[in-house]
Amino acid sequence: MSGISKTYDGNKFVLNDLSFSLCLGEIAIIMGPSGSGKSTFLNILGLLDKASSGKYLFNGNDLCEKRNKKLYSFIRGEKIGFVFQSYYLIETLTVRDNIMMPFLYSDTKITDEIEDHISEYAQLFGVTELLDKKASLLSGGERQRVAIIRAMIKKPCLVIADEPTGNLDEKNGETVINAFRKIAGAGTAVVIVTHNSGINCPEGKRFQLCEGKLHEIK
Amino acid sequence: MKSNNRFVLYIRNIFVMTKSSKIRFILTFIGILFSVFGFAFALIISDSYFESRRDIYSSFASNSLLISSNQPSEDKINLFLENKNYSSVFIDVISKNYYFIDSFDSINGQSVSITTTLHGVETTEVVSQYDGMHYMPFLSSIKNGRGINWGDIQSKEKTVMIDEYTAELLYGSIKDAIGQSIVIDGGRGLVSEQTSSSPQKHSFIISGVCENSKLTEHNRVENRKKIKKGSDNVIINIDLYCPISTIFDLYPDLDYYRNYIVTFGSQNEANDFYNKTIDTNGNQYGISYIVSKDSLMADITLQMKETKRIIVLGILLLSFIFGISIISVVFFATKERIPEIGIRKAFGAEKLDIVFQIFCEMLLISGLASIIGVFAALYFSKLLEYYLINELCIYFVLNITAGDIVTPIFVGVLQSAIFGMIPGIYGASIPITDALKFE
Ligand SMILES: Nc1ncnc2c1ncn2[C@@H]1O[C@H](COP(=O)(O)OP(=O)(O)OP(=O)(O)O)[C@@H](O)[C@H]1O
Ligand SMILES: [Mg+2]
Repeated sequence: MSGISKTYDGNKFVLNDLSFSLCLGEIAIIMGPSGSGKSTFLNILGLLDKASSGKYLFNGNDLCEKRNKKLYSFIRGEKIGFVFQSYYLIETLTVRDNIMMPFLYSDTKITDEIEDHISEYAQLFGVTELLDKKASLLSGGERQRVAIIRAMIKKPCLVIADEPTGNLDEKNGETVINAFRKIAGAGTAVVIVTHNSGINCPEGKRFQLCEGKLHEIK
Repeated sequence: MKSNNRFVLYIRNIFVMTKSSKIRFILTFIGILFSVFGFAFALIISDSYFESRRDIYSSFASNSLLISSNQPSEDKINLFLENKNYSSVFIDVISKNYYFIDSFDSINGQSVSITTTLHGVETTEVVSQYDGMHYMPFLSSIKNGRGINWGDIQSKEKTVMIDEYTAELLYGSIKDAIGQSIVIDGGRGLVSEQTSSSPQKHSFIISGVCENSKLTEHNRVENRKKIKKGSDNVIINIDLYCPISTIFDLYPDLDYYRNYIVTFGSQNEANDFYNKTIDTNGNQYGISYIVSKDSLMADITLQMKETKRIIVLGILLLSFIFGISIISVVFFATKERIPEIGIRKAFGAEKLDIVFQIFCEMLLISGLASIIGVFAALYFSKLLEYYLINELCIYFVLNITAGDIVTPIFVGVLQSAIFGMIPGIYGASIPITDALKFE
């Protein structure tokens, strides 16, 4: 994407002529002070919000040219997995149904393989016992891990994670990062926003967001 | 339930979301339940009422007219006597009073009082019976023995014809009734009316048994029920038909009024005559009333249409009022769910998916409420039928058509789905980022 600008009130530009690109299989780690516009950037990247101006090429689709809501929903459902800063699970559904949610609005067949994946991830993130519990009963850290499984379960091209380790202890945080590295190894592009500069990901490209622009840190 | 199936997953989502939105569930449920109940109940009762009447009228003799005159006035009656098209005239003189035959106690050792309506008649192809509104002529055939004939009339014979039901009730079978004598004790009612002479008992010989009409069939069933129930005071009314001359002879001071049942050669002739008695303003002149099968059927059809129209208008009005309250309830409930809608959209749901989901949830609530509402209506109409028949002794047969059940369900479901969708569309239209942050 290039030349992305975003303003909420018409005066102050949260993102200003920002450019960013990422290939499949790459990890981008984005840091920046609170209020610098990281979430805003992720929202635009994840097609939840539209930029005030700029160009966005996703997998060969030019997404700023025409406003095609159907295409946006399709890409959100099929190609992008989102981990929100505040998790956003549906409280009344079970953990399993929350994880299955991305399949609800797509034509992808729900195979036994997918069930196996859920069990695998649940095992990996230590939430196996929680699968049939209601989401409202979970702790913050547990929610975060469930949200991560939900984002990854469909093997999207792009996983976007806003503070995915914010509420996790060191050991769980590492498990999560390793899981991201693993799916990147399998060909998914991953964008992570974090305040934790000590994150262990040697192959990740690191970026700093300030004054509405992204600067890569070598 | 295996979750390895999108449909099952979808249904589970609908169920959980329907269940968790409690206020919406309860209020919509109650609203739909009551409106569907009211609609179905009104339809069932009005349909049943009109069908019951139609049922009676269908057994009405089609080429006969009942010409009733509260005061016997020969002048007025001349109107039809001058008309020579009729094939027979059944002059039915009905006592306003009831006469005891007997206190009858052979049924399960139970004491049953029997009262009689005595009809003085000339011929017996058509018999007259009270349907709750007026006496009406019914076609009838002789089942056993013979009917009243001119010989009986000329000799003022003390002979009577009874119907099958009365024969079975009093004598066990229609065969055993012939030749039996039946005593009419002119006691009750006459005492106050007839001051000149003391009440007299008269004994009549049963000469024939005629076929039951729909009304007698109905009475028979209901009276059996009463007897079975073992009520203390079972009063059964029966009709007896005797020569008209005999009545005049035995009860000269009898307070009576006359019905003339005029039977024509064909239905057309009957209709022609009926039309002649109606003046330009549509009033019947000269006689207190004339009824024909056609006029009664036309009346009931008109009444039925009008009642249906009132019900439908009422339902439309109520639906609108309910619709507005459904909108506000669902609007309130949808506001709480806007973040959830945002989440669903973030994972690929389109606006239409969200609207459809809310539509399905409303469908579930209103479907459930409608079905329960219709069952309640069925139950209460059964109860009403029981009450009308057993307590008020009104001829009423439940007539439940598919439309009585399907229409209220359809209206209830459609109403909530459509009105419920309006807030759904609002919720689904909020941009994702705003929806997610919505408080
Ligand atoms: N919907 C909105 N309307 C108006 N202003 C907004 C809106 N969303 C965000 N902002 C503003 O844009 C700026 C960037 O917000 P953003 O949420 O992107 O920050 P952030 O970098 O994610 O911060 P944090 O690290 O605290 O999550 C903030 O100043 C915020 O007040
Ligand atoms: Mg943020």
